[in-house]
Amino acid sequence: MVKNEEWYFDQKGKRFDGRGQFEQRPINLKVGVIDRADGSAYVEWGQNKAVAAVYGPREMLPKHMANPNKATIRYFYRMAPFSVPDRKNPKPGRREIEISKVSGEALSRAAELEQFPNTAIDVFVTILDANAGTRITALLAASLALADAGIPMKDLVSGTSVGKAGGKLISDLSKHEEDAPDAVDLPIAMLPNSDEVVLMQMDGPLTEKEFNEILEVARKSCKEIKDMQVKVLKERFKDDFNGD
Amino acid sequence: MTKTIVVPGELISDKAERGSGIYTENEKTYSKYLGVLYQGEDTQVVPLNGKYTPKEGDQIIGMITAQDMNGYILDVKSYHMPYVHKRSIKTELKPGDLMLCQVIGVNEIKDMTIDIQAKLEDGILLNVSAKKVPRVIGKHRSMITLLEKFSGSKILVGANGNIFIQDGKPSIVKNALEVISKYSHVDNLTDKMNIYLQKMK
Amino acid sequence: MVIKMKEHFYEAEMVKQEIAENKRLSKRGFLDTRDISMELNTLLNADGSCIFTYGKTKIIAGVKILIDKPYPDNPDEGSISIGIELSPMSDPSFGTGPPDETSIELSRVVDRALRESKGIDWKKLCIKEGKFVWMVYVDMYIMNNDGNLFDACEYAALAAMKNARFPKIELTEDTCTIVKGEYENKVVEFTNDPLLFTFVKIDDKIILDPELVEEAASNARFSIAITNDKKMVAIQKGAEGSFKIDEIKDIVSIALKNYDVVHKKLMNAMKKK
Repeated sequence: MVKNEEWYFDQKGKRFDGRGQFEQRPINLKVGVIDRADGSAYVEWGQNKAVAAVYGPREMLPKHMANPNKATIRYFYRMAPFSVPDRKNPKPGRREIEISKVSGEALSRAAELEQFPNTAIDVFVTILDANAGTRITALLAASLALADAGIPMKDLVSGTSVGKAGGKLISDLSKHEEDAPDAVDLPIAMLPNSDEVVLMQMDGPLTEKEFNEILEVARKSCKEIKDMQVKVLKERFKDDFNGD
Repeated sequence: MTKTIVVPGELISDKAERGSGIYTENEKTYSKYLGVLYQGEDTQVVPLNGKYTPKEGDQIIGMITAQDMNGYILDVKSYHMPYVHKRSIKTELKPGDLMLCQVIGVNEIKDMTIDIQAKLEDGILLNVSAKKVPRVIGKHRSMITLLEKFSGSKILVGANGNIFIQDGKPSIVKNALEVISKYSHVDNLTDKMNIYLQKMK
Repeated sequence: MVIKMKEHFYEAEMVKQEIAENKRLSKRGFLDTRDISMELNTLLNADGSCIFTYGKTKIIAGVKILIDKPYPDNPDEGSISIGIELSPMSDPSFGTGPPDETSIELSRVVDRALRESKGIDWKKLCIKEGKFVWMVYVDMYIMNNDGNLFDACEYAALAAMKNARFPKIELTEDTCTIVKGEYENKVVEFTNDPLLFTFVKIDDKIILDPELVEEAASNARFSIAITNDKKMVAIQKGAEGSFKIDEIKDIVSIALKNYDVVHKKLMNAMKKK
């Protein structure tokens, strides 16, 4: 087995880290990690680690930013300086601001914001460790935190990332695969009940056939991940109490 | 026994039902909240967490957080902070003061008009999520009666989850409120709290 | 901590009642510290990391060790940089925007405790005199705030640094670059493990390692850093209240007595993981 920069699949079709073509990295979810927040969650997705907190609905300040028809979700995606191979400047960059915008918009579709005119729902997500796929890791945490905060939602926002590397379509690209010369990264978030796509970004070339195929893979993964989100939310309230 | 917990987007019924905390789409009924499901004549999902939704007539406890020339702004753990004009109050107040208030009106953006009833002094403020207030009160005030018995305190529960405690042992109430919040989804909670408080004694 | 916590004002009254009866809400003794646990090096992109738990206070510390140019007046010495982010994620009283005076004081007190201990040999952080030195960045986030961020951050930073590895480098006459993903078998050495001890005064009583509500009840704060040879290396008095000279003497002797207890707790927690 030769391990060099060009290596993405072995003879049996396994990926460089031993995963199958459409196998995701292990996912670990936790709800209720920040006592002082209205809702919070922690998500590990492979090496990626994100912590999210929700505050609100609360008075929108400055007041002129308030929307008289509904609540505004303000999403702050931030990377810790130590979360990437080089030290990241703590000041938010253009990438973080763009991700914050599309992620906030994704959550806005899920939440029933019309119930809370003139208010802000602030969602803070910090990436502690990154290895490709952090925006989806962050969004899963944010979606759990939103549910934990008691915000009414049409559905949980679930997501995954699919794409292509080393000539084949794959699920959940790692950093190594994302750096492949032919890499395509396609993060996607959905409301699984209604099959609505609420976030999609892509860089890299795909044919229509490839795109349609990988989209079906993503749809299936989103449903699986949603099942995990449902399970962890319910587990918080499974404990019985008998006065002990 | 624990109750049925549902999550946002969870399918509750294959037909369109009426109730609260739910929505229907394509003749099916789903939950809007992470909450407890009650299925009777109406289908209800009661959220397990969330801020105070003002209701006319509610008695709430608020804290003065700021003042200007004409009045005061209160934090009542809701979506908005109500404003009270100075001319409607006789005494001078300052930020940090606790006020017992009544909600006398709620507008279309869930902002409220309140009437100040009394200033609360010489006591301690604790809080729980507004959604847990019914559990803290209990059936026919059974939980409050129990907590008052064990702590020797006087307990005033605001509908917004702010709780004012005078005399006795407030630390017992604080501990009990944490337990009630954690297990608010459990049945017969008052009986179980009775056992718990006996043991803690 | 001088965070404005009006909402804790009334709970603080309860703390005062307990303190008057010589008790703490948490049932701890006045001079007892909370339990310590940690997860080391779980953040793989950091050169070292520590997810540190002190009671219910939880800190995430990440270390990055980078190559830098030395200061002209110390051409053969590297340095450390401590940054503590009071992210609005962790507490409703932490605002957005640039660091405020609270977080700057916190970072600087933690920095002084670590730096002034002289526990790091700055010359060991030199790669090539006048050209390349190591800069050790420790960035911290407050994940859960239950008081005493001073001590918790200092312990977290110390544990993270002591377990951080130096990256491998390629050094030529004029260039020095980090070899990505490869490490030397070398950690940031502290010869004397400085530990910070923070006390607050509630009415006339002094307690060690305050929780959030206890901080709200207090009117004065005193932090003191001690090294393992029982020297005091840094002090910060904070908040609007005051201490009498005799109280300060007591604080010093209590901190000195507590050093071994807390050091053992910290080392045990470090060994476990």
